[in-house]
Amino acid sequence: MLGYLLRRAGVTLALLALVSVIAFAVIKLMPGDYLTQYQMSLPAELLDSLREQYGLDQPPLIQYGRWVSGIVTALDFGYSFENQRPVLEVLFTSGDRLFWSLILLLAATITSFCVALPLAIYSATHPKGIGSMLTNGFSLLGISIPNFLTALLLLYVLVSVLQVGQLGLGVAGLFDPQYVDAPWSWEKLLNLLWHLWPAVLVISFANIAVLARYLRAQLLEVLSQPYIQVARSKGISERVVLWRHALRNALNPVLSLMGFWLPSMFESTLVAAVILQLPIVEGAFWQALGRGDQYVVLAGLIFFSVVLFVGNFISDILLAWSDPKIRYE
Amino acid sequence: MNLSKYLTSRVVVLGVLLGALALALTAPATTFGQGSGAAVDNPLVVSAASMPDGLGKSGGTLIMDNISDPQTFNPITARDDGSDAILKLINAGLMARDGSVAVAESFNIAPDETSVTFTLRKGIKFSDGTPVTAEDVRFTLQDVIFSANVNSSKQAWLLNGQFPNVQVINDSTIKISSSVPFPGLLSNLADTPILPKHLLSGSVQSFNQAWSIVTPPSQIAGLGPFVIKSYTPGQQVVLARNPYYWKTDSSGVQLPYLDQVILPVTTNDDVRLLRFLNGQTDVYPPRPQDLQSIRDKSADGFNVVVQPAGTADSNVFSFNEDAADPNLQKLFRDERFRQAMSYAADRASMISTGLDGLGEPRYGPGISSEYFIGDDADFPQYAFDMSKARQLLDQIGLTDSNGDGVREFPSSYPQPGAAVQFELLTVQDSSVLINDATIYSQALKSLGINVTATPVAFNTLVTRLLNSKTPQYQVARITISFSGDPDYLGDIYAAKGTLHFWKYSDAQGQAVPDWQNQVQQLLTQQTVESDPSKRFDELKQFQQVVAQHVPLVYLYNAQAMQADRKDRIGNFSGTERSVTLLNPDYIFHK
Repeated sequence: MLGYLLRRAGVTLALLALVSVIAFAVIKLMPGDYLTQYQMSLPAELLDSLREQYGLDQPPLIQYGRWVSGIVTALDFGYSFENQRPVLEVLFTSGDRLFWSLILLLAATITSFCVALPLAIYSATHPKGIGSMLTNGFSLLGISIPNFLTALLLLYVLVSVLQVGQLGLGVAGLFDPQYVDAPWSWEKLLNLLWHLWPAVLVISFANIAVLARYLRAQLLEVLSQPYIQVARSKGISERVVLWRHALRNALNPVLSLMGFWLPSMFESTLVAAVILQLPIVEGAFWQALGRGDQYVVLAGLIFFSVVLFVGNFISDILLAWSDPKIRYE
Repeated sequence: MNLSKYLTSRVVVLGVLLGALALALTAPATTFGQGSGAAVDNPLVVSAASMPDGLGKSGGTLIMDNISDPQTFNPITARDDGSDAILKLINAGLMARDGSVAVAESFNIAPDETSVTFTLRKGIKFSDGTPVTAEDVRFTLQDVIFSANVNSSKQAWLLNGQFPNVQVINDSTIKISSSVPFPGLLSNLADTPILPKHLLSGSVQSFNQAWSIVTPPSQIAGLGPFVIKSYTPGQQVVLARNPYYWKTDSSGVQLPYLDQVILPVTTNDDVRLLRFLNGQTDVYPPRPQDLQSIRDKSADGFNVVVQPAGTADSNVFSFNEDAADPNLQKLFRDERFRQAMSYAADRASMISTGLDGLGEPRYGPGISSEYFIGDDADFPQYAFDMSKARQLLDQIGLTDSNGDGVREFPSSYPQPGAAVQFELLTVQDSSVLINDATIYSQALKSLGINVTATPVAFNTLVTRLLNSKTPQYQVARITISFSGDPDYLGDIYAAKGTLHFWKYSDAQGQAVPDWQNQVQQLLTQQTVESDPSKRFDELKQFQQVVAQHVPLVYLYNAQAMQADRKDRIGNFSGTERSVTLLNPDYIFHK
C-alpha cells in the first residue's frame, strides 16, 4: 500500500507540473497581459515601468522559471499584480476566503445528500407514481438549468416577487452591512443563515439532481436483482429489504462518485460566488481571471487541480474500502 | 500567515463554530457614532445655494455598492475603480477640480507666471489629527510623485522634460516654480492628494507597496471627508466621517453630514440593481435597461437623475491609415473618404438603440468640459447624411462597375477593380459597441461597402491597436477615456503619441498632412501657454482642425444616469464615472 501511495504521489506531482506548464502556456497564448487593460488610459512611461517591475517584459520561459523556482524553494506562489500581495494571501487567507469556501462546501454537501437520498428512494420505490414523475422532472431541471441562471432567478424571486426587502432582509453576500464587522450574536448567526441558504441551494441544485438520478438508477437495478426477490419471498418486510439489502448495495457505486464530488462542488461554487457575491476562494480566482492577474490564476488552477487529484484519490480509497475485490498494490 | 497553520486554525474554527455562536453575546450589531469635530480656523464654507436640496442634517449612513474590492489604499498607485470609489472620499488636494481652492486657503501666481505660491488653511489637520504642513506638500510631490521608484502618473508633471521645483517657504506656505509657465499646474494639483509625511516617510523606497489593503486603517490618514474605518475583503469597506474635515455648511455645521458610508462589494451588474430595488443600497448608477424598473417604483422614493453628457471620452471609429492592404491604406488616407465615413454614421440610431436615447452626438475630439466647443454653431460637423456620403465616395472614384452591389477601387489605386471591403473590430463584451458596429455596417453596406463586424476580446483589440507600430487592424470601434488637463491630448494626436494608432507612420514623417503638423504645433503651444484665454483659443483651434480633417470618426458621448432613494437621502447629485460620489461632503440622510 505504501508503495502505491508513493507511486501515486509521484504521478500527482508530475501531473501538477504538467498542469502548470499548460496553464502558463494558455495564459501566455492569450493576447495581451495584465497591463493591456490599462493601455488606453495610462501613460506609456508608467506602463513600461510597471511591465518591468512585474517582470512582464521578460520572455515567458524566464517568467515561468522564476515562478516555479519560487514554489520549489520557498513555497512562494508569486505575487498578485492587482493587490500587490502574495498570491496565497489573496486566494485563501484574505477575508477568510478558504474558511467560507469550506463552510459552503460542507453545507452544500450535507444538503445535497439529505435531499437527494429521499428523492432517489421515493422515485425508485414508486417508479410509476406522479411523485416519481415530479422527482424526475426536478432532476431534469437541476441538470438542465445553468447555475448562474438559478442564482439570478432566485434573487429575482426574492426581490421582486417575495419583496423580502420590505421585511428588512437583504440579498447577496454573507451578511447585511451592519453585521459584517459586528461581534458574533444570535442576530448575526440568523443573518448569516438567511444569506447562506440561497447560496447552498444554488450550489446543491445541480448536484442534487445528478446524485438523485444516479442513486435512483442504482436502486432500481438492485431492486430487480434475484436476491431481493428471494428476500421478499421469505416474507421480509419491504422496509428491511429496502434499507438493509437494497440501499447498502446501491450505495457502494455512489461512494465512488464521492471522488468527483469535491471538484464538482468547487465548480458550482464558482458560479454562486460570482452571482451571490460570496467572499470565497472561487470569487478571488474569478476576479483574477478577468483581470489577467496571471500568478493568482496559475495558483488557482494548481489549487483546483489538487482538489481534483484529492477527489480522485478519495474515490479510489472508497472503492477499495467498499469493494473487497479491489486492492491497490 | 503560514498556510498549514492557517488551515489548522480554520478547521478548528469550523468545528466549534456553532458551539461558539451559542455562547456568543446577543449584543446589538455595530453602533454608528458621530465624530467630534475639531474646527479649522478658516474652514471652506459650502453655501446652501450650491447644495441641490439646501442645508442638510448631520448623522446617518449611506450605502452604495462598490463594483469590486479595492486593490490598494495607496492613492498614488491606485488604478482600479474599486479603489477609486474609496480613495476619492478619503483624500483631497490643494485645489478643487473646478479651479477653486481646497486644502489651500489661497494661491498667488507670480507676475512672470513661472511660480505659484500656495498658503495652506490655518489649523488644517489630517484625519488622524496631525497638522498639515507645507513639508507634507513637498513630500507628496518631490519625494513621492516625482520619484523614479514610484508608479505615479508623473508624465503630467513634466514640463520640457523637467519637474517643477517645490520650495517650502514656511509651515503653511509653499512655492511651486518652473522655468516656463505651467498652465496645467492647478488642475494637476486638484488630482493630487496631499499625503501625510509622518505616516509615509519610512515607506518612500517601497512606496508602491505602501498603504496596501492589509494596512491597518489607523495607519492611513487623508484630508477627504471620510476615513477608512474597516475593510473586510470580499464583503465591504466602511468609511467614517473625518472629524478634522475642513469644510462647514453656511450655518457652521461641520461637514460631512453623513456619519458613515458603507461600500459593499457587489461585482455583478444585475445583482447591484436587485439590491437597490430591494432597498439595500441608497444610490445606484443604472444602465439604460434598468430605468423602467426603477421608475416603476418612484412612488416608493426611487428616483432617477440623468446627468448631462460628458465631453472627455472619445467614442470613435478608427480607420487604420497604415493598413497592410495597399488599397485600404490609400483610401483611409483620403480625407474625403473619412468625411464620407462620418456622414455615414447614424449617431441618432446608435444613441437611441444602444443608450436608450441618453447621449449627445459628437463630431470632434474628447476634451475636458471647460475647453469643449463641440456645441458651437460654426464647429465642423459631418453629421449623418447618406447622400453626401454617397457623393464623396463617387468623387473618390469608388463605383460599382459590375453591378453586384459593392463598389470597386478605381484604376488610380494599387489594386484596381478589387471590392471595397474591410473588417470592423469591436469589443465582444460590450453590447453598446457591438450595436454601433452593426448599425454602421448596415449603413456602409447600403453605400456599397462590405463590412465584416468582428467582436473580439478587449485585450485582443488593444493588442492589435497598440502593440505594434504597424497596427494589425483595418477599422475599429473603440472608446478612448482620459480625463484631467488637456496635456494628455499629445498622447493621442501628436505624431509620436503612443495612442496615435490610426497612423503611427506620422512619427517617421511619412506623408504627414499639413493639418497634422498644425495639430502638433497647437498642442505644444498650449502646454506652455500661461494666458488661459490664449490657451483656450489654441485648444479651440485644435478641436476645429481635428473635426475638419476627421482622423477618427467621432460618434457621441453618453449621459450618465444615477438612481437614488429620494425618501432617504438628500443633496445627491450623481457620481463620477458611476464609481465615486460627486459630493460626499454634503449628501445627508433624511
